[in-house]
Amino acid sequence: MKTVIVSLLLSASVWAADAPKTKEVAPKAEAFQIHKYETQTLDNGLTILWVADQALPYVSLQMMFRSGSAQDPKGKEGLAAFTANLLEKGTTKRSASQIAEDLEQIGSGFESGTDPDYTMLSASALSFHKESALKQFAEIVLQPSFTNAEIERFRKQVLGSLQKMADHAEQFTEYLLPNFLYGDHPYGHQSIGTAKAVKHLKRVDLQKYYADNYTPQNAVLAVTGQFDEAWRADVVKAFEAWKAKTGKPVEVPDFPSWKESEILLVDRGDLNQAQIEIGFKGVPRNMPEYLEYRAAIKVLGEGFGSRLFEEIRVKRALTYHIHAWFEPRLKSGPAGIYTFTRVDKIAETVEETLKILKKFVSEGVTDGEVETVKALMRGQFPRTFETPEALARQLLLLNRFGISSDYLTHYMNNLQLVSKDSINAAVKKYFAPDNLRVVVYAPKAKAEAALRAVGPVQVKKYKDFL
Amino acid sequence: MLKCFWLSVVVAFSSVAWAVTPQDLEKAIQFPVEKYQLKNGMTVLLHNDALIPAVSVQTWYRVGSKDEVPGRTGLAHFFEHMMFKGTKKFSKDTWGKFLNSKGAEINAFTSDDYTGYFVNAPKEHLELVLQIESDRMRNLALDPKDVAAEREVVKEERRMKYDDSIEGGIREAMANMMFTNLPYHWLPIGSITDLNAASSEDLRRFYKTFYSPNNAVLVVAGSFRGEEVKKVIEKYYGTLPKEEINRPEIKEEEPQTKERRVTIDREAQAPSVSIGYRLPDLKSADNYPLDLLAIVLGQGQSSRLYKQMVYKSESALNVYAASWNQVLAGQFSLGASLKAKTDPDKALAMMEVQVKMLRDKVIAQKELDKSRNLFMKDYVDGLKRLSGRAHTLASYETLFSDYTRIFTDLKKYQEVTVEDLQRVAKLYLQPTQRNIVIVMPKKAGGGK
Repeated sequence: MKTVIVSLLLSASVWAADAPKTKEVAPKAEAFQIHKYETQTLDNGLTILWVADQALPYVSLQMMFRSGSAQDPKGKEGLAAFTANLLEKGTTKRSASQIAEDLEQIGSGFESGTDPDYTMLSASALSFHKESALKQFAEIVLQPSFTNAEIERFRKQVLGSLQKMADHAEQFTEYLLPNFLYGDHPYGHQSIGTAKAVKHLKRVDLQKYYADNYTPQNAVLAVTGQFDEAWRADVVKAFEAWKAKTGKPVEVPDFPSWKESEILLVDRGDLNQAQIEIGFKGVPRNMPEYLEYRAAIKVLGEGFGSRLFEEIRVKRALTYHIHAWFEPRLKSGPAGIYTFTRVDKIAETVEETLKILKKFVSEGVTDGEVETVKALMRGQFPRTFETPEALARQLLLLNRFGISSDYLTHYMNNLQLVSKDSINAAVKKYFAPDNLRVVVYAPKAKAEAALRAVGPVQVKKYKDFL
Repeated sequence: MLKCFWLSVVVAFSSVAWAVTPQDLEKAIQFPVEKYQLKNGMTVLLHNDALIPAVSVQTWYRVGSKDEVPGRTGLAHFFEHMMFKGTKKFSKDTWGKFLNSKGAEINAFTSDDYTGYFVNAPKEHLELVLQIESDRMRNLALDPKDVAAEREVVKEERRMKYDDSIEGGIREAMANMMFTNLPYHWLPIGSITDLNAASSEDLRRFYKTFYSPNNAVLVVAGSFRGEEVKKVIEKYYGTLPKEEINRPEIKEEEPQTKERRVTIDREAQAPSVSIGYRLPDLKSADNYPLDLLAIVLGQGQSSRLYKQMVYKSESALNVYAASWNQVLAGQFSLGASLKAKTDPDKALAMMEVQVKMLRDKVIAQKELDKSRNLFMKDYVDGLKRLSGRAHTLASYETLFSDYTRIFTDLKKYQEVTVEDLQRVAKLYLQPTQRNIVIVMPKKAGGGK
């Protein structure tokens, strides 16, 4: 077996050797030290990250696959998430019920999360149950059975959840945005999929998706917690027989382009509040101005003290919550502003929010805001990577997006280089405030006139989406 | 000057032995804590951990919605919002731009029993954070203009979390029905009518009484020098005056002898059901088996309700069971989000079948062990982050005046027997003790 072990502490990683490096700045000695970790690549191509943590008696396994809902074939939206969810619903050795029983017997559980660009599987346990946790995790990942009975059972669950989503106003608005933003693009649906597509998923679809995407070369396993050499060898043994297979991921096209803003009003008469998602084109993760863009979003609308929070909540008392957000992806991900307000304040809330966005883009950030946001990002950094599990997750994501781990080791110094000019250049380059997709979930009678003053509105009933 | 007593548990957080067993988990999760009290009665807990260059400062007050009176429900939570509106010395920008500029993150929460504030900050700003937190303990401005604006913000919070939320609506209906005398009859969010009625004077009175050092627990966790931080705490908090705390009179609940039920008709895609049982107060040792009983019934995919209702009969999308420990009286809660065609009465009958089995027959030891393992895993997860440890310390100290229960409670859970589970099921989960909330989808054309 060919095993390469690299020990890393505050140095650029080689485990993503082909990844472009972020700005080259020598890390300073006083920089915050992230946990030590090691990487190992098995003969079958599986990369394993080891992050030892002696503080508490636990182990955690996180496996990331470089495939997600963007790989759903057209007409099969929801396939990636459906497949990930079915893994624990039966293996060639055990039924779904036995798996649930056995995992919970050791206080553990299996979790899967599907993002457009990746799928994350995880399980953790107290360290005295680590042998069983490993054995079960490996069996679930490597030997799923995808029985028709479990597929039918889970299909009903998904369809029921999609239907009920309309009763969770925030979640439903969030569900509607990707399609309004991206249309017929691989990012144009949430990973849960659509009812129309989920109704027709077949066992063979799951088997094919699994065979194409659940391969050791397509995966990185992060192991954290209290473990010894013997258990480490067990981990390697559990995955070394996994057969290599080269897959061909579907290429994700670039962001669709539009000419003007549009508003989708989804009518529901009984709501006391309007849910408002103002979506726009975001950024790819592997962009040179990533820190600048992050800083810009924070100044615009992340947390107490941001422009949107101060104007819309503190000064105008229009909402309890407002924030700007972005999801960096392989290709340009979505970004937006989310808020809600009472139904008689929809016009003011949307107009004022857009006014702030436009002013932000035209005038840019101030010197004071730059100093503040840099201090905030400096302060947040150690807290973000405080636990080895959080660090491991971050390393997995960096790997997925082709970013070298020197992003972490150079973070503090690169942050120092962020300036008013560099943030404002990024704002000018990436924000287009006249090119928006706004979803509003509210009673039509209260919202339509208010929204028509902002831009062209298409109105649909919420039941049209169920 | 610091008052004289303090407790200390000094076991290195990072020197756990390799072969930890469930029996010595208590030792394995130990972390160093020092407790003392200022002359004015404020309790201080220090947890020194230099793993990251940060601190978590938690200021919790022993006040919540249980300390409100009818007509002024929601006051404790409304007041919590006002704590971010500035003092003479620190303008309201402090809890936004200014603390951001120091790399800090802040927030707060209000429950029935307590109100907590936290600041997570780089270690070098610890003194500044303590100065700010001590100042707003006694010197809040409470500008009527800010009160008026924040009232609207709180009402938006209510609309979002309760009026437009099926789950929020269930919670409120359950509290209204389950408690007729205790102040848990209402939720911390309060009613719109009462929020409109709350005056600046109400808020000021509330502040003076309950935001006194003798009603507070201060937790400082993270990277600091112990002796220095004690001096800083004394400097900023030592001179704050204590107050006499008069809480509203409590009228105990009568034993519940009949099932109570309410149906909410609203626009919904499918029905939901919830069952609540009243539990004893926080001091009761029965809370240990009740916590584990909730796991047996409805936490996880191998729990009894999940297996029966989600997996076998496929009548529910999800189920839950929880035991909420509260100062005056707890709640044991079961719930199911049903599939569109499921009859709620049939779902309730299924839930009662599962509860009855727990009353009638002791469960297998293995099932108890499973619930304990799930419980311990969650317990340890909560201690992984510095802010999590600080939060847990503040919570235990605020509720029990004894943070050491973080460690010793594990033994109590280890001692729970299968007979204990049956005993508490019989004692607290009888059909006549049920409070039932049903959400029924309104029929088409039924109007609002």
